[in-house]
Amino acid sequence: MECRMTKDDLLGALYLAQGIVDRRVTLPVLAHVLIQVSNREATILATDQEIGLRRRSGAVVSKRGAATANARVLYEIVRSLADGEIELRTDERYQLEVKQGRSQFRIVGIDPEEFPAMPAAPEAKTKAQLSIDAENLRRMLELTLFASSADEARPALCGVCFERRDGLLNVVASDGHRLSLVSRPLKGVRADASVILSRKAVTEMLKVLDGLSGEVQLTFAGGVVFLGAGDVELAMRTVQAEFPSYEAVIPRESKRALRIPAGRWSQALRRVGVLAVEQTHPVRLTLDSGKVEMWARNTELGEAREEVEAEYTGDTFTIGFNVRYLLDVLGLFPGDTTVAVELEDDESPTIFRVPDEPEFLYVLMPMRLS
Amino acid sequence: MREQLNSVIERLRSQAATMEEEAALRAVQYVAHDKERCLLEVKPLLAAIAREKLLPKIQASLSQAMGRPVRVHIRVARSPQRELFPFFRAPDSNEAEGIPDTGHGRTFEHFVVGPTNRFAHAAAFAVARNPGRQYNPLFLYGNVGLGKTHLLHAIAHGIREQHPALEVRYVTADAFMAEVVYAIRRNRLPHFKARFHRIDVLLVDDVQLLAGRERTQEEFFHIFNTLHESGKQIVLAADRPPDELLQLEERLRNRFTWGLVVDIQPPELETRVAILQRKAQLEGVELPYEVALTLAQHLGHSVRELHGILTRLLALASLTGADITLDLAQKVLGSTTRGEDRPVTLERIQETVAHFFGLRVEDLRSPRRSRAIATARQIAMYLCRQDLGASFPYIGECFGGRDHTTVIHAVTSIERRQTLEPELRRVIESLRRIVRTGEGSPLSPWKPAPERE
Repeated sequence: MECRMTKDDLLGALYLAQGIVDRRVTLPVLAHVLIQVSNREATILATDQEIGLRRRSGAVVSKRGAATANARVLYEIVRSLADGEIELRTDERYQLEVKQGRSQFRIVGIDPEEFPAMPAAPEAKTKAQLSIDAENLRRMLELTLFASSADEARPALCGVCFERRDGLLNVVASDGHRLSLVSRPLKGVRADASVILSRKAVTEMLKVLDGLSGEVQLTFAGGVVFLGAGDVELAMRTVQAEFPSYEAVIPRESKRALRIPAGRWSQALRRVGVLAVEQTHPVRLTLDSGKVEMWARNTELGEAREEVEAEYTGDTFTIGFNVRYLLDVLGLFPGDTTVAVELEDDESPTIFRVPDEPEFLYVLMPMRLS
Repeated sequence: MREQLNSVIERLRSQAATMEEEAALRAVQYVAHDKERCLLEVKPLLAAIAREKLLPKIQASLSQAMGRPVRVHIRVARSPQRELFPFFRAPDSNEAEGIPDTGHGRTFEHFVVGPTNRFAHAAAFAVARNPGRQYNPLFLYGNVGLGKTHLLHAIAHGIREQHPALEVRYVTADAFMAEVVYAIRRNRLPHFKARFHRIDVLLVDDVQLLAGRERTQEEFFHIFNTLHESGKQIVLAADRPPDELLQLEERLRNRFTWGLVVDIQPPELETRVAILQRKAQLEGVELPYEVALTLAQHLGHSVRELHGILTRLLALASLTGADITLDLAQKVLGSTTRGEDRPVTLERIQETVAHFFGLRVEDLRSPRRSRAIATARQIAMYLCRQDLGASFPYIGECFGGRDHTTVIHAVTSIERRQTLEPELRRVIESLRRIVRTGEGSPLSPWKPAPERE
């Protein structure tokens, strides 16, 4: 194998590979990237056997072939080189030579045959393929990923669920305490189905989508979801678990309604939250005519209290929340956004909506106050 | 269903038999229900009472009130945060994996370290951090209620957190035996073995219960070898060191000493105080230092006993709405010790047991071996070991200069018989009470059942 590529192309691929390669040394080849060089193209692949990355870029090819190299080492090398072309060449002992000007590296590789095969997206258009605007998809993931769980004992919640139903794409995540849902009508949504992608997969999707515009393709094929975005293709194995049926926990209507600006509320919550130090970060909200009072206390440290003006006309009402769960959702929107909160009582799910992004919904369970 | 539940609990409260039951009923919190299930929560201290004593009653009454069968789950309250999908994970799913759900969790964080258990704690911690590397197997031993099981669970939790990819299995020797028996009966031994060979970290509690179970020991031996050879971590806990597990095959005992053998001794006063305060803190209750000190001074050395008295104290405080004061503590202590604080001594155990069986102390020390005397002697030896923590040779010495292996046999056989003969268990419980409080028992002297060997 012998070719020349630009630093930008090579670095772009290696950057994406960093998040994917398997750092646990179960299988040494999984810490490597595979570089495949064909006619006028170099493809860089990385996988942890759950997620696979393929990135194609133009190359000046002298000799076709393949090579592998440790993903981290190659990334560090390429990053430190000057802008411009980089030469890549392998020898029969699978060593990869990286050359630019007077810099020369020889990196130990592994037989490319050992690199695990990765599923490729179906060539033909299938019923299960849909096109979506890259920025739209990125926003949908951003609005949901944060609400997923890190508790691996509940794999179904350790990711984001993609549900195609009735012409809608629903993207939803929950850690069992709160749930975040974005629904968008989408052309091409025909076959109803629901799959879960791991947090890692969604994090990598966000990286791929970062700064991208235009249409990208999502293809649902058996146990794998493909994201096709320009030169990049991500293959992501779905999580073998069933997402809990969540419609039932979204209340249809609630007794109390509150409207409050996101920015001012979150600043106040951040201040009061300084004293919500227990494991569950409890703050007490008291809704009263025209205002919300926030209060937190720690027996050893002290207490904090603050009021924020809000549109509220109901009875005086007290409810407890984990302040982090409130800050998480408020932080997703510009400060002047109005947040509409619907509350039933102090033990039922509370709903957060944002009139500026009507496809978004956040359901939060309150906390028992002692 | 909530209305019915409230009235059921209200009714049961008016009929509660003990203070603890009443306190548990007051503390039970509704979490969620669907058509055929009702999920309740209770504080960790009251969980055992709630599950054993209250659950069947609540379930029966609630089913009756609803006119259809309702399954009631009581789980340990983990956090004040309410859940969106309370039924999504079956409330008891943790227990299925072998690690009982203990609520606040028997983690390292909640283990109170003192001079008598520091080494055991450090070894367990090292194992959780680097399973299979350092101490393999790790063998922990010590008397009941000193925290062996806590450390095993802590290792399991620690590994789950730091090495989520590893498969961890906690099993008591009893449960292991049951699985072996089941596998043999169902002709599923290969499947059973394969399941254990997949494990990365095996934690076995109460290893002494393998005594005399030859087939189980055989299977355990092979599993031990396979895991150990492939560098998998094994942790064992027993009530005595490997060389005193006389009814275990020598090759097993021998293997148990390959890694590190560490003992856990009863906590000294300062640690006992710390244990009480930590436990109270977990319950969200402030325990004044002088109260903790008084309790710690008056109580025996087992952590379990300390937790027991604290439960009583907190239950009483929450029931009567009283503050936790020295007075209240003394009241609670009084109800257990009847005002008289009698140190448990070997002589007292001998006297009490002899009197209970209508014998003289000399009979216990004599070489006579009639069945009645032999059983009484074995029970007395057992109590000396369990409640006093005396060494086997010393006990042998005090019972007419018997060999320490005789004592070990006596202790093991009483342990085993207790699981088969509830009557014997009751007798031992009441003997314990008499030894501790000096109070006569309503039970008439007991005629031992013929021993079945």
